[in-house]
Amino acid sequence: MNDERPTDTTDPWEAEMSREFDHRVRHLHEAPLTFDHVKGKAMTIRRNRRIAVAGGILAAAAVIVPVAVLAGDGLGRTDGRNDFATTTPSPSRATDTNAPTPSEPPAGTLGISYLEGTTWHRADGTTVELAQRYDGGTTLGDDLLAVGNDNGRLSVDVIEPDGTVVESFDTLSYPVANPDHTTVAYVAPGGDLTTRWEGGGAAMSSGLADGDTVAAVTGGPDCNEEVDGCRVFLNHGDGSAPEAADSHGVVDVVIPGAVRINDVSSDGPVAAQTSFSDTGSCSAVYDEAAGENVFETCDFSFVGFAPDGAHLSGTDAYRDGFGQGWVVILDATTGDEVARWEATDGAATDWVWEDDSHLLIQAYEQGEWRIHRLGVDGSTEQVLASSEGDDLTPVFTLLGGA
Amino acid sequence: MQLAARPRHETGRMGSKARARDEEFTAYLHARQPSLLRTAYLLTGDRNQAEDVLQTSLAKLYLAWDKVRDRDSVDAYVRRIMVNENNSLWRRGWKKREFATDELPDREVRDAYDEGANDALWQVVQTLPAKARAVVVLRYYEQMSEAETADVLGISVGTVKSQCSRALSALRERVPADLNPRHREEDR
Repeated sequence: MNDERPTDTTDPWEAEMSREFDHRVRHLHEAPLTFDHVKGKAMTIRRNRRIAVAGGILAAAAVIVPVAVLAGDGLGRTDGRNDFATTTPSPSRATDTNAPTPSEPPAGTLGISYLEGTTWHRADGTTVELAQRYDGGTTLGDDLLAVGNDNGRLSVDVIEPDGTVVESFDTLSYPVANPDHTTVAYVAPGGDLTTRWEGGGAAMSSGLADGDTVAAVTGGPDCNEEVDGCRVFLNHGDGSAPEAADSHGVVDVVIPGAVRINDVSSDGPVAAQTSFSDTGSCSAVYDEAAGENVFETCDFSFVGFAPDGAHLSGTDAYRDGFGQGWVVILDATTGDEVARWEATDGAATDWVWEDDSHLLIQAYEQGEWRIHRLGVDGSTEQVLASSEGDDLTPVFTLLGGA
Repeated sequence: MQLAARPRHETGRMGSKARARDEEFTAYLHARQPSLLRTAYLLTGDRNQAEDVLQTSLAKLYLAWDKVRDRDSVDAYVRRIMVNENNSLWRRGWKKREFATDELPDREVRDAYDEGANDALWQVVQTLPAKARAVVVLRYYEQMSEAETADVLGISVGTVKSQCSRALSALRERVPADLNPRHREEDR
């Protein structure tokens, strides 16, 4: 990292620029703003923020924000996911006044929220019956953001823990949450990169296209620069370099030459695909602060960091169409394989971190859908199974969060 | 969203605390405003927009004053907001003139200052994208290191390097060759 100041340089253009800037302003000594000028403007800004929050309106923010990987996005779901829906969403998504109350919690089986058919299983063990099947989603705080895919048209229902649909909105991309599920980001119709958190939201950037997707969110919950700030990582559908948008209004290429961002650790490292071909791909974990790769590999493709950033899930560098025959857990600092799960007469279609040490894997094997738990110590166990559905219609949807 | 009115017995204590806070902020305003205005002018290239950017940035600082004033550098926080505000100007549809035509209120000193070369340089700087312009202003006016610039802007050092490199390349390409500072050095 270069700590030299421009005065240390011998480049005449750098010196000339310094000189020109100094000359342009050397006689500007004014202080035109009084305290009342500043405070009056501050009060206006504060009023506008309150109106935006109270009205549920997403206020346009001057700053740009990062993205978090959506639980369940392990196989590039956001860029060409097959439509597995067996039911079409009902035309009306009005609040269901007859929403059933949550049932008594059975013994908890997964440590994260997941869907099984039309049942929302929450991490606390309670279950909520939903009015319809959904194709994916995530959680934001205690709420479920359930995604419906109607022939490529995506929509989101915001569902409270009692099953009430409190809001619906359209989206061009699947919402992605930050690691603690306190902020989500998505591309809204019209191309605004939109974030939301409990009690607020902001448009972080604009001009995105249909096909652009959110890869990861870090920071939050409040993405305003003067509160928490956040950073949203984007993959572009046109193949241009992935970018990150932060709370200061800066949108920048994350990794020169990267093809796609898979995930971003809460500690900072970025897991990205660096190249691909007909026979495979190469990937790297990149340290932005250092400006260099932590490690590279053409043996694995990456999916997601564990919550503590110590491990990284992955699979074959060559992705087959239906699913993957094996899933690995890698040491996130060395790239060494520490655990592996292999399918029995089938393939894995999705996997999500349950906690720092366990990965939940959904697979279709021997005619049924199963959830397996793979530990960083190499332990494996089958947790759930269902013979419902067929090999193209996953029964379970792993959400992450509460 | 309604805010509950503060109980009357708390008003007096909050009043003196708020006064102290405002006095502290006012002292900062008096001490740092001229310097911040100069930076805002270099970022925007326009005096009116500079004042607007500065006013909004200081207002946001005021709202965050209790959190920010304990940081090592309040100026860095304000610069970051100013860069962001300037970046957002185009989204509001502001028309930015290509060249700075505003006259600075005071006279420029005429010494060995080469009007021809530096006017050309200034014009090139003003055509830089807002983000790139922010990087070169912090580097070459504020004299920050690449690491400090990256930290203020919340970007990587690599981005700082690339933005500066592109700006310098633009100067080399677009400023007439006979005004190249390297040639003028050789002529001396």
